[in-house]
Amino acid sequence: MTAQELAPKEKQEVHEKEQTRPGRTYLPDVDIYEDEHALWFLADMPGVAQEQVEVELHDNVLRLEGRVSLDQYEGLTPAYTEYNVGNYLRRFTLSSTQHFDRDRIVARLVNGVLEVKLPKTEAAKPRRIPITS
Amino acid sequence: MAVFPNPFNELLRLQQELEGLLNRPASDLSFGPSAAGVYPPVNVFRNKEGDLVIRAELPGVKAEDIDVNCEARRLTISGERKPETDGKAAYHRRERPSGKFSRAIHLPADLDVEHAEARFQNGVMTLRIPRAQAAKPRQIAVQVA
Repeated sequence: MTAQELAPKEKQEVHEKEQTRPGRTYLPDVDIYEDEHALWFLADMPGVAQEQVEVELHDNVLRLEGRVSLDQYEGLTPAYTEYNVGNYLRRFTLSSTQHFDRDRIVARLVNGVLEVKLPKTEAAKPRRIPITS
Repeated sequence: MAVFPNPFNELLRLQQELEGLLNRPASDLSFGPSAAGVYPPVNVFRNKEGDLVIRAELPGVKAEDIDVNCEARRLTISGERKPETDGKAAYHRRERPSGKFSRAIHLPADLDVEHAEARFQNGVMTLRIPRAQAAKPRQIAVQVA
């Protein structure tokens, strides 16, 4: 169905004046989409384990952060490299947080992809308005 | 808050090691200029036993959609990253492409391809190919004649 070929992308580094941790941090690639029940965020965070992910909605800023596990690199000497590894961080400002149910936000990590679901409140769900004659 | 780079920070050390080789063709393991621009990017390591460890980031790809093939000294990593939605969702942002990929790598000669192992964890594939017994250093006892 999808005959398209994937092309490699260079990782974009996060440039912030204040870094709380040493080492490089990258911007994960993100898809944002909505269906009738929720707003979904998918962020590519390869190499990050479930317990090293932080998802936080503070005021109207959604912060997605993942720290890469390094135990897989123990005892290995690089011989040839094409990409670097690092932590991931991305923030999104939501325009209308009152449309989401803050208490029911769910996040999970599947095959290196962080999935965050922001369920819509009843008031924000689409409604078909019947037309009566 | 200012943070001094900690010289003992593991991540920093690994990043510097990887960075050091990024723009420099490696001596015995160069895959040539054609290697650039092919998905997925790979990092190649040696462990203490001399085994070759090839790692590739494949987030969002299912383990069953990855194919690793080895024919003589030619290793092929291929597969497909399938879209997460059926195309009916309304997208606000789309940065994660889907599609097929295939990449060939010419392996060094000192490996035992028969005993290669591939693992896929947290979106990262790790392929370990042990060093051939014949290539391992061996101590030769000196006999008194």
